[in-house]
Amino acid sequence: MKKEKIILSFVAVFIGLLVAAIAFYFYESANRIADQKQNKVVSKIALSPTPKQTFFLTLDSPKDEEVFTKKIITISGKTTADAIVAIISKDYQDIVTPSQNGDFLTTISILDDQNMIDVIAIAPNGQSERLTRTVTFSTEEF
Amino acid sequence: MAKILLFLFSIFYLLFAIFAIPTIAATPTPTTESKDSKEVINQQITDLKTRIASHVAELNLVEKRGIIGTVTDVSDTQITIIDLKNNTRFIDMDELTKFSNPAQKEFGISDITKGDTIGALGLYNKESRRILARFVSTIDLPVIVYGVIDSLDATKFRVKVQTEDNKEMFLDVEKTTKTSSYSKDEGLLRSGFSKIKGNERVIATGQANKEEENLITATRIILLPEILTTLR
Repeated sequence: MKKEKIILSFVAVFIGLLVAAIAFYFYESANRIADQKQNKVVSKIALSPTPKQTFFLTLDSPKDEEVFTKKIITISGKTTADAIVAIISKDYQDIVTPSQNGDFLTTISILDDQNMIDVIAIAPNGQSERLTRTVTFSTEEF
Repeated sequence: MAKILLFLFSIFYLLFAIFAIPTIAATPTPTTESKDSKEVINQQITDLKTRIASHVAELNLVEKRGIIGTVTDVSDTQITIIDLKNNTRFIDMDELTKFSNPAQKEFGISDITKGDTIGALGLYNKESRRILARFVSTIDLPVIVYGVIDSLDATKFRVKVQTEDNKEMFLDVEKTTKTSSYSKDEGLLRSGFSKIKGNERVIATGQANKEEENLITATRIILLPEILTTLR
Protein backbone atom coordinates (compact mmCIF):
# COMPACT_ATOMS: atom_id res chain seq x y z
CA MET A 1 0.00 0.00 0.00
CA LYS A 2 2.78 2.42 1.00
CA LYS A 3 4.76 1.50 -2.06
CA GLU A 4 1.76 2.34 -4.22
CA LYS A 5 1.36 5.72 -2.51
CA ILE A 6 5.02 6.62 -3.16
CA ILE A 7 4.79 5.56 -6.80
CA LEU A 8 1.58 7.58 -7.17
CA SER A 9 3.27 10.61 -5.60
CA PHE A 10 6.16 10.35 -8.06
CA VAL A 11 3.75 9.95 -10.96
CA ALA A 12 1.78 13.02 -9.75
CA VAL A 13 4.98 15.09 -9.45
CA PHE A 14 6.06 13.96 -12.91
CA ILE A 15 2.68 14.87 -14.41
CA GLY A 16 2.80 18.23 -12.61
CA LEU A 17 6.26 18.95 -14.04
CA LEU A 18 5.12 17.91 -17.48
CA VAL A 19 2.09 20.24 -17.33
CA ALA A 20 4.28 23.09 -16.07
CA ALA A 21 6.79 22.46 -18.89
CA ILE A 22 4.02 22.48 -21.51
CA ALA A 23 2.56 25.69 -20.06
CA PHE A 24 6.02 27.31 -20.07
CA TYR A 25 6.57 26.20 -23.69
CA PHE A 26 3.29 27.81 -24.79
CA TYR A 27 4.05 30.99 -22.84
CA GLU A 28 7.48 31.32 -24.49
CA SER A 29 6.01 30.63 -27.95
CA ALA A 30 3.39 33.37 -27.44
CA ASN A 31 6.14 35.85 -26.42
CA ARG A 32 8.21 34.95 -29.48
CA ILE A 33 5.26 35.59 -31.80
CA ALA A 34 4.62 38.98 -30.15
CA ASP A 35 8.30 39.94 -30.62
CA GLN A 36 8.21 38.89 -34.26
CA LYS A 37 5.09 41.02 -34.82
CA GLN A 38 6.83 44.01 -33.22
CA ASN A 39 9.89 43.53 -35.43
CA LYS A 40 7.64 43.43 -38.48
CA VAL A 41 6.11 46.79 -37.47
CA VAL A 42 9.59 48.30 -36.98
CA SER A 43 10.77 47.08 -40.38
CA LYS A 44 7.62 48.51 -41.97
CA ILE A 45 8.42 51.92 -40.44
CA ALA A 46 12.01 51.74 -41.62
CA LEU A 47 10.95 50.88 -45.15
CA SER A 48 8.66 53.91 -45.49
CA PRO A 49 10.17 56.66 -47.69
CA THR A 50 12.42 59.27 -46.03
CA PRO A 51 10.58 62.60 -45.78
CA LYS A 52 11.92 65.39 -47.95
CA GLN A 53 14.64 67.25 -46.06
CA THR A 54 13.69 70.82 -45.22
CA PHE A 55 16.10 73.71 -44.82
CA PHE A 56 17.69 73.80 -41.39
CA LEU A 57 20.54 75.18 -39.31
CA THR A 58 21.97 73.69 -36.13
CA LEU A 59 24.88 74.98 -34.08
CA ASP A 60 27.10 72.61 -32.09
CA SER A 61 29.49 75.27 -30.88
CA PRO A 62 29.46 77.69 -29.16
CA LYS A 63 26.78 77.03 -26.59
CA ASP A 64 24.55 79.95 -25.72
CA GLU A 65 25.84 82.06 -22.80
CA GLU A 66 29.14 80.17 -22.77
CA VAL A 67 32.15 81.83 -21.13
CA PHE A 68 35.53 81.52 -22.84
CA THR A 69 39.01 82.18 -21.47
CA LYS A 70 40.47 82.36 -24.99
CA LYS A 71 39.65 84.93 -27.66
CA ILE A 72 39.66 82.51 -30.57
CA ILE A 73 36.55 80.35 -30.55
CA THR A 74 35.16 77.71 -32.88
CA ILE A 75 31.84 78.06 -34.67
CA SER A 76 30.55 74.74 -35.92
CA GLY A 77 27.23 73.35 -37.00
CA LYS A 78 25.23 71.81 -39.79
CA THR A 79 22.95 73.00 -42.56
CA THR A 80 22.08 71.83 -46.07
CA ALA A 81 25.09 71.28 -48.33
CA ASP A 82 24.06 73.87 -50.95
CA ALA A 83 23.60 76.71 -48.45
CA ILE A 84 26.04 79.42 -47.46
CA VAL A 85 26.59 80.41 -43.84
CA ALA A 86 27.15 83.99 -42.74
CA ILE A 87 28.83 84.42 -39.37
CA ILE A 88 28.44 87.90 -38.00
CA SER A 89 29.53 89.60 -34.81
CA LYS A 90 30.32 93.23 -34.02
CA ASP A 91 33.92 92.81 -35.09
CA TYR A 92 33.75 89.92 -37.52
CA GLN A 93 31.76 89.11 -40.67
CA ASP A 94 32.47 86.19 -42.91
CA ILE A 95 30.76 83.68 -45.16
CA VAL A 96 31.62 79.99 -45.11
CA THR A 97 30.42 77.16 -47.31
CA PRO A 98 29.51 73.86 -45.68
CA SER A 99 31.02 70.53 -46.71
CA GLN A 100 29.14 67.98 -48.83
CA ASN A 101 27.34 66.62 -45.77
CA GLY A 102 26.40 70.12 -44.63
CA ASP A 103 28.90 70.47 -41.78
CA PHE A 104 30.66 73.78 -41.34
CA LEU A 105 33.42 74.88 -39.01
CA THR A 106 35.38 78.08 -38.63
CA THR A 107 37.19 80.04 -35.95
CA ILE A 108 36.51 83.63 -35.04
CA SER A 109 37.99 86.14 -32.65
CA ILE A 110 35.76 87.58 -29.96
CA LEU A 111 35.96 90.85 -28.04
CA ASP A 112 36.20 91.37 -24.27
CA ASP A 113 33.06 90.74 -22.22
CA GLN A 114 29.79 89.82 -23.96
CA ASN A 115 29.61 89.21 -27.71
CA MET A 116 26.54 88.58 -29.83
CA ILE A 117 27.21 86.14 -32.67
CA ASP A 118 24.66 85.71 -35.43
CA VAL A 119 24.83 82.70 -37.71
CA ILE A 120 22.61 82.91 -40.81
CA ALA A 121 22.31 79.98 -43.20
CA ILE A 122 21.00 81.01 -46.62
CA ALA A 123 19.72 78.57 -49.23
CA PRO A 124 20.15 79.31 -52.96
CA ASN A 125 16.40 80.05 -53.14
CA GLY A 126 16.77 82.77 -50.50
CA GLN A 127 15.30 80.78 -47.60
CA SER A 128 17.20 81.48 -44.41
CA GLU A 129 17.61 80.22 -40.87
CA ARG A 130 19.15 82.38 -38.16
CA LEU A 131 20.60 81.50 -34.75
CA THR A 132 22.04 83.90 -32.21
CA ARG A 133 24.56 83.05 -29.51
CA THR A 134 25.77 85.14 -26.62
CA VAL A 135 29.38 84.36 -25.72
CA THR A 136 31.64 86.01 -23.18
CA PHE A 137 35.39 86.39 -23.02
CA SER A 138 36.64 86.63 -19.46
CA THR A 139 39.63 85.39 -17.51
CA GLU A 140 38.22 86.54 -14.17
CA GLU A 141 38.10 83.94 -11.42
CA PHE A 142 35.01 83.89 -9.21
CA MET B 1 10.92 0.87 -0.11
CA ALA B 2 13.70 1.59 2.36
CA LYS B 3 16.17 1.47 -0.51
CA ILE B 4 14.25 4.16 -2.42
CA LEU B 5 14.10 6.40 0.63
CA LEU B 6 17.80 5.85 1.28
CA PHE B 7 18.58 6.70 -2.35
CA LEU B 8 16.54 9.93 -2.26
CA PHE B 9 18.06 10.94 1.07
CA SER B 10 21.57 10.34 -0.33
CA ILE B 11 20.90 12.55 -3.36
CA PHE B 12 19.46 15.32 -1.16
CA TYR B 13 22.46 15.11 1.18
CA LEU B 14 24.89 15.18 -1.72
CA LEU B 15 23.28 18.30 -3.24
CA PHE B 16 23.26 20.00 0.14
CA ALA B 17 26.94 19.16 0.60
CA ILE B 18 27.88 20.57 -2.82
CA PHE B 19 25.97 23.89 -2.66
CA ALA B 20 25.48 24.83 0.97
CA ILE B 21 28.57 23.76 2.88
CA PRO B 22 31.23 25.82 1.01
CA THR B 23 29.13 28.96 1.48
CA ILE B 24 28.82 28.40 5.18
CA ALA B 25 32.50 27.58 5.51
CA ALA B 26 33.60 30.67 3.57
CA THR B 27 31.80 33.06 5.93
CA PRO B 28 34.18 34.10 8.70
CA THR B 29 32.91 34.18 12.25
CA PRO B 30 32.63 37.88 13.16
CA THR B 31 34.21 39.07 16.34
CA THR B 32 32.70 42.06 18.19
CA GLU B 33 35.86 44.15 17.66
CA SER B 34 35.98 43.73 13.86
CA LYS B 35 32.23 44.33 13.71
CA ASP B 36 32.62 47.74 15.42
CA SER B 37 35.51 48.86 13.21
CA LYS B 38 33.61 47.74 10.13
CA GLU B 39 30.62 49.84 11.18
CA VAL B 40 32.88 52.87 11.71
CA ILE B 41 34.47 52.41 8.25
CA ASN B 42 31.04 52.02 6.67
CA GLN B 43 29.86 55.19 8.38
CA GLN B 44 32.94 57.06 7.15
CA ILE B 45 32.40 55.80 3.60
CA THR B 46 28.75 56.92 3.74
CA ASP B 47 29.75 60.37 5.01
CA LEU B 48 32.37 60.74 2.30
CA LYS B 49 29.89 59.64 -0.35
CA THR B 50 27.34 62.20 0.88
CA ARG B 51 29.92 64.98 0.89
CA ILE B 52 31.16 64.12 -2.60
CA ALA B 53 27.60 63.90 -3.91
CA SER B 54 26.62 67.29 -2.46
CA HIS B 55 29.81 68.91 -3.80
CA VAL B 56 29.23 67.44 -7.27
CA ALA B 57 25.62 68.64 -7.18
CA GLU B 58 26.81 72.09 -6.14
CA LEU B 59 29.34 72.16 -8.96
CA ASN B 60 26.77 71.08 -11.52
CA LEU B 61 24.09 73.38 -10.19
CA VAL B 62 26.07 76.57 -10.64
CA GLU B 63 28.05 77.57 -13.71
CA LYS B 64 29.64 80.69 -15.18
CA ARG B 65 27.45 82.36 -17.76
CA GLY B 66 27.32 85.62 -19.65
CA ILE B 67 24.04 87.13 -20.83
CA ILE B 68 22.89 90.15 -22.80
CA GLY B 69 19.56 91.89 -22.55
CA THR B 70 17.51 95.04 -22.37
CA VAL B 71 16.73 96.33 -18.90
CA THR B 72 13.06 96.31 -17.96
CA ASP B 73 13.39 96.89 -14.21
CA VAL B 74 16.11 97.83 -11.73
CA SER B 75 16.25 97.67 -7.95
CA ASP B 76 19.14 97.78 -5.45
CA THR B 77 19.68 94.05 -5.56
CA GLN B 78 18.15 92.92 -8.84
CA ILE B 79 18.00 93.80 -12.52
CA THR B 80 15.31 92.34 -14.76
CA ILE B 81 16.13 92.06 -18.44
CA ILE B 82 14.66 90.70 -21.65
CA ASP B 83 17.40 88.63 -23.26
CA LEU B 84 18.12 88.16 -26.97
CA LYS B 85 15.58 85.33 -27.15
CA ASN B 86 12.86 87.50 -25.57
CA ASN B 87 12.99 85.65 -22.24
CA THR B 88 12.69 87.53 -18.96
CA ARG B 89 15.86 87.01 -16.91
CA PHE B 90 16.69 87.99 -13.34
CA ILE B 91 20.14 89.23 -12.40
CA ASP B 92 20.97 89.34 -8.69
CA MET B 93 23.62 91.65 -7.35
CA ASP B 94 25.61 91.77 -4.14
CA GLU B 95 28.54 93.72 -2.69
CA LEU B 96 30.97 91.87 -5.01
CA THR B 97 29.19 92.90 -8.23
CA LYS B 98 31.24 95.36 -10.31
CA PHE B 99 29.71 97.79 -12.79
CA SER B 100 31.29 99.35 -15.85
CA ASN B 101 30.49 101.50 -18.83
CA PRO B 102 33.02 102.24 -21.58
CA ALA B 103 31.71 105.80 -21.83
CA GLN B 104 31.73 106.58 -18.09
CA LYS B 105 34.54 106.25 -15.60
CA GLU B 106 32.37 106.11 -12.54
CA PHE B 107 29.44 103.87 -13.10
CA GLY B 108 27.15 102.10 -10.67
CA ILE B 109 23.79 100.43 -10.27
CA SER B 110 22.08 103.84 -10.04
CA ASP B 111 23.26 104.65 -13.57
CA ILE B 112 21.44 101.69 -15.09
CA THR B 113 18.03 102.63 -16.37
CA LYS B 114 15.13 100.97 -18.11
CA GLY B 115 15.83 100.43 -21.81
CA ASP B 116 19.63 100.12 -21.42
CA THR B 117 21.32 97.17 -23.08
CA ILE B 118 23.56 95.43 -20.61
CA GLY B 119 25.79 92.41 -20.42
CA ALA B 120 26.16 90.45 -17.19
CA LEU B 121 28.72 87.84 -16.26
CA GLY B 122 28.21 85.75 -13.16
CA LEU B 123 27.16 82.49 -11.58
CA TYR B 124 24.04 80.99 -13.05
CA ASN B 125 21.99 78.75 -10.78
CA LYS B 126 20.27 76.08 -12.85
CA GLU B 127 17.65 75.46 -10.17
CA SER B 128 16.56 79.05 -9.50
CA ARG B 129 17.45 80.12 -13.09
CA ARG B 130 18.92 83.35 -11.74
CA ILE B 131 22.35 84.76 -12.33
CA LEU B 132 24.39 86.20 -9.48
CA ALA B 133 26.29 88.90 -11.34
CA ARG B 134 29.96 89.54 -10.75
CA PHE B 135 30.33 92.00 -13.64
CA VAL B 136 27.66 94.18 -15.22
CA SER B 137 28.40 96.52 -18.12
CA THR B 138 26.47 98.51 -20.68
CA ILE B 139 27.02 97.45 -24.26
CA ASP B 140 26.21 98.61 -27.77
CA LEU B 141 24.78 95.76 -29.74
CA PRO B 142 25.21 95.78 -33.51
CA VAL B 143 22.09 95.65 -35.66
CA ILE B 144 22.11 92.89 -38.25
CA VAL B 145 19.90 93.21 -41.30
CA TYR B 146 19.21 90.48 -43.85
CA GLY B 147 16.95 91.17 -46.78
CA VAL B 148 16.61 92.41 -50.34
CA ILE B 149 17.77 95.81 -51.59
CA ASP B 150 14.66 97.74 -52.56
CA SER B 151 16.12 101.03 -53.74
CA LEU B 152 19.17 103.29 -53.59
CA ASP B 153 19.48 106.97 -52.76
CA ALA B 154 22.72 108.06 -54.42
CA THR B 155 22.54 111.61 -52.98
CA LYS B 156 22.30 110.45 -49.37
CA PHE B 157 24.33 107.26 -49.92
CA ARG B 158 21.43 105.40 -48.46
CA VAL B 159 20.17 101.89 -49.23
CA LYS B 160 16.59 100.81 -48.57
CA VAL B 161 16.31 97.16 -47.57
CA GLN B 162 13.19 95.07 -47.22
CA THR B 163 13.77 92.47 -44.53
CA GLU B 164 12.31 88.98 -44.36
CA ASP B 165 9.71 90.09 -41.82
CA ASN B 166 8.61 92.84 -44.24
CA LYS B 167 10.26 95.69 -42.35
CA GLU B 168 11.83 98.58 -44.20
CA MET B 169 15.33 99.38 -43.01
CA PHE B 170 17.68 102.09 -44.27
CA LEU B 171 21.44 101.68 -44.41
CA ASP B 172 23.64 104.74 -44.32
CA VAL B 173 26.77 103.96 -46.29
CA GLU B 174 29.68 105.89 -44.83
CA LYS B 175 33.26 106.20 -45.98
CA THR B 176 34.22 103.70 -43.30
CA THR B 177 31.60 101.16 -44.44
CA LYS B 178 33.22 98.02 -45.83
CA THR B 179 31.24 96.70 -48.78
CA SER B 180 31.91 93.33 -50.36
CA SER B 181 30.22 90.91 -52.71
CA TYR B 182 30.13 87.15 -52.21
CA SER B 183 30.15 84.43 -54.85
CA LYS B 184 30.71 80.72 -54.24
CA ASP B 185 33.59 80.58 -56.71
CA GLU B 186 35.46 83.72 -55.75
CA GLY B 187 34.44 84.20 -52.14
CA LEU B 188 34.28 87.72 -50.73
CA LEU B 189 35.36 90.44 -53.16
CA ARG B 190 35.67 94.12 -52.34
CA SER B 191 32.81 96.22 -53.62
CA GLY B 192 31.42 99.73 -53.13
CA PHE B 193 28.25 101.82 -53.11
CA SER B 194 28.44 102.37 -56.89
CA LYS B 195 28.35 98.59 -57.43
CA ILE B 196 25.22 98.04 -55.35
CA LYS B 197 22.26 97.18 -57.57
CA GLY B 198 18.62 97.02 -56.65
CA ASN B 199 16.86 93.70 -56.12
CA GLU B 200 19.87 91.97 -54.59
CA ARG B 201 20.23 89.97 -51.39
CA VAL B 202 22.22 91.70 -48.68
CA ILE B 203 23.50 91.20 -45.15
CA ALA B 204 24.44 94.36 -43.31
CA THR B 205 25.68 95.17 -39.83
CA GLY B 206 25.87 98.52 -38.15
CA GLN B 207 24.77 100.73 -35.31
CA ALA B 208 21.21 101.90 -34.88
CA ASN B 209 20.68 105.61 -35.35
CA LYS B 210 19.27 107.04 -32.12
CA GLU B 211 17.39 109.84 -33.85
CA GLU B 212 15.86 108.09 -36.84
CA GLU B 213 14.05 104.82 -36.39
CA ASN B 214 14.96 102.03 -38.85
CA LEU B 215 18.13 103.86 -39.88
CA ILE B 216 21.42 102.07 -39.46
CA THR B 217 24.89 103.40 -39.90
CA ALA B 218 26.36 100.48 -41.78
CA THR B 219 29.78 99.21 -40.81
CA ARG B 220 29.75 96.22 -43.13
CA ILE B 221 27.63 95.30 -46.17
CA ILE B 222 27.84 91.91 -47.87
CA LEU B 223 26.04 91.58 -51.20
CA LEU B 224 24.80 88.14 -52.22
CA PRO B 225 24.08 88.31 -55.99
CA GLU B 226 23.85 84.51 -56.36
CA ILE B 227 20.92 84.15 -53.97
CA LEU B 228 17.39 84.42 -55.35
CA THR B 229 15.65 87.60 -54.27
CA THR B 230 12.09 86.32 -53.93
CA LEU B 231 11.26 86.76 -50.28
CA ARG B 232 9.66 83.74 -48.69
